[in-house]
Amino acid sequence: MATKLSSENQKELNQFFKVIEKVAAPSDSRSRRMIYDLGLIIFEPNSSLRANDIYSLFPPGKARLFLLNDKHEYESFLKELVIANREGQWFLVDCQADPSPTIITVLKQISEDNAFTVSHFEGQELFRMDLNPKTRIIFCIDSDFLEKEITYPFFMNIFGPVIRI
Amino acid sequence: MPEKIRFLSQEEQEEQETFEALKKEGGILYREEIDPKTNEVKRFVNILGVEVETYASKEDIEAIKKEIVLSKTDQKILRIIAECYKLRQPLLLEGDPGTGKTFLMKKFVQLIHGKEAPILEIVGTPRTSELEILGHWAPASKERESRDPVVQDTIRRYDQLEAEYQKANDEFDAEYKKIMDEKKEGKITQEEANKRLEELLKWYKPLQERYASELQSLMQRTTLTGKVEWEFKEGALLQAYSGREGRGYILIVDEFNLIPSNYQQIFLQIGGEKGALSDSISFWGNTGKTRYARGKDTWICFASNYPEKTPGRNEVVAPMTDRLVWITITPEEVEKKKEVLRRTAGRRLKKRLKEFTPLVTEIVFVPVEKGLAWHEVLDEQLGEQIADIVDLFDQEFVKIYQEFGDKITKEGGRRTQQFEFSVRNPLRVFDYLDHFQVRNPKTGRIDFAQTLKNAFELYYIRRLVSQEVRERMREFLQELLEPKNMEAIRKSEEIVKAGGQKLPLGAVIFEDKIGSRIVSRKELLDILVERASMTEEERKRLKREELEYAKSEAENAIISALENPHIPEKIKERLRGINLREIQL
Repeated sequence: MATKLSSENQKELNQFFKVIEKVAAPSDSRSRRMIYDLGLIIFEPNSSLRANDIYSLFPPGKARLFLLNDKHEYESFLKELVIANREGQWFLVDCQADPSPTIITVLKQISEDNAFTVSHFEGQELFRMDLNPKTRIIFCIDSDFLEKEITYPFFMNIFGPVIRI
Repeated sequence: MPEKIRFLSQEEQEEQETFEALKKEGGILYREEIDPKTNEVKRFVNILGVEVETYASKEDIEAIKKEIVLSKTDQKILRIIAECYKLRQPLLLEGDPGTGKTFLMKKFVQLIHGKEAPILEIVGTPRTSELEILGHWAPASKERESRDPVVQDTIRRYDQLEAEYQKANDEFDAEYKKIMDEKKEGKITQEEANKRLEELLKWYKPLQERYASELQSLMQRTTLTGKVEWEFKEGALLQAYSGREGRGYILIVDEFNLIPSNYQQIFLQIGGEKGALSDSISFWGNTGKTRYARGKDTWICFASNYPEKTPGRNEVVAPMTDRLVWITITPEEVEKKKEVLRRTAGRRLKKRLKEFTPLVTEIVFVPVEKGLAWHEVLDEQLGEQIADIVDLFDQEFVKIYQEFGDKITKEGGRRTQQFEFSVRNPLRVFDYLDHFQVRNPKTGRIDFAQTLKNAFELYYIRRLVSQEVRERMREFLQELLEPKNMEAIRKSEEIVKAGGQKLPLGAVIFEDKIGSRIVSRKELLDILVERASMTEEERKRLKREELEYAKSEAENAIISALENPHIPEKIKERLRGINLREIQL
């Protein structure tokens, strides 16, 4: 498959994926528990790259791609996240809509606790799930969209490594 | 003079043993007890001196303990969390990001509900609405998989309705914020702001009603087809009140001041009696009004940042500030925490870490389990004295706050965060006194001056950011309880002549067997506590002694009158007729 990725981009992304895979940090300065970071890929204004191009870098079955293009949507996001987590897959989100408050809550919980809790899911009043040690979450977002459309002012703080390509 | 030897009561010994155990166990102690009535095992966790019932196992508690290292500031915060939980008073922790507010709240939830327990949480965003807070009706989740055209059409119309409603909400929020900003910047007056808000509500209310009515109509029509199942998805607040089969949850509301003001106001319902959580909340759903009673484990804690320091933050709506125990973690306290981390190389220097994080006795104290109760002794002179002190402190606090304001930094201007002060704080203090009385280690009796200092610290002083204003309030409290120049006050002729009229706030006139004298409020509290702590026998003896004293004083007065040459003989004759010795006491 033809790719728009330059070799430099590929090198940077490989390094980025390695960091996300290997590096764990304590969730909080007092915690002894190690937490894996969520990653953020920002497409620069002149970039023609899309989340699909990133997804294509993963071997088949290793990752799952989710298109977030509705700002009220959260149920499908959760369903896909849970599947990826059960399968130990990486979860790639093509972020084309401002994530709903429920998604922000889930992302923040994962970034702090390596686990998340949601209400009324899979028949449970409160559904809790630990993040699979093999699973990592990466958001792909357009630089312009990030600056202008994301309403949660601390969106960037949720993520550890950030790459602009 | 050698110190008096005092034997500890059984209760005091137990308190000391608990304190020693807490020191040994790093401030968190697990305990089990068998309920003699039901034979069931009851579990308790003592968190820095505050004991509460827990669902967590001993193994969980041990595992959680290993995950946390408590600096002095952390000890203060965690202790406050535990105190407010015990009293079911909703709490808000305010401070810079990275202070550990949410971290400590979550660890606390785990200490109560277990390490793997799901944590009910809302992270506030500018788009958080009543859907997350209260809940909403929606076609049941399983219906989204259905291929039935009726179901698919219902879901399409439902989504459309929701999107329209969300759009209206977004417009409302944007306009509301604009009005508030213009008012804050002085571009419009309060009156103009009110007028515009009124107009905004005139536009918004019918939209809300139309949404509710259209949703109800859609539900009714589609339910009648027998093909579409609807379900009410309770929001976090309703779940916190009545979830877990009515037992309720602890709810964490993070980034509270990112939530738009009109949705923050939904939480006003949580304000109940004595400054604690309300017994129930009501929700107007599409099926009418539903009451959600508070569960036995329900509690809510909020976290927010300074609106003045962080862009994008709203203020917490003023009526809400009064419904919460508002605790500010000052930048100085945060700096102390950071210092511990730096100087222990991020907790790597284990020996140093132990030295830097000892349990602080003033924070970690074991309250008296069976203290002096209102219905027994406090509903008398002692209680009246306490109520007077609370009243004086409350008035002064509000006066100082309104006159001088509060500042985040020395250079910074007044806070933009507005506060409301009603009677909730004094009521919280009175409730606190029922549960957290402390003992004077020298006498073994209740030390109400110290207990009040602790309560004022929690409900008033820690609300302030400015160290300067905090100190000012502490100094006022000290003067109110124990004036520095007490000896001079006692000796002041002017005060004596004025019969106590010119007494400073911290001094009062007290009468007992010694007679009438000027004492500090702390001295008076101690005297009254000593009396309240007496056995019936001791109380009778004291009464007898007082009467004996009065009798001897009267005798002296008669003798001195008889010796006075200016008193007419007729009167002396009458006085000689009084035989005080015959009077039985």
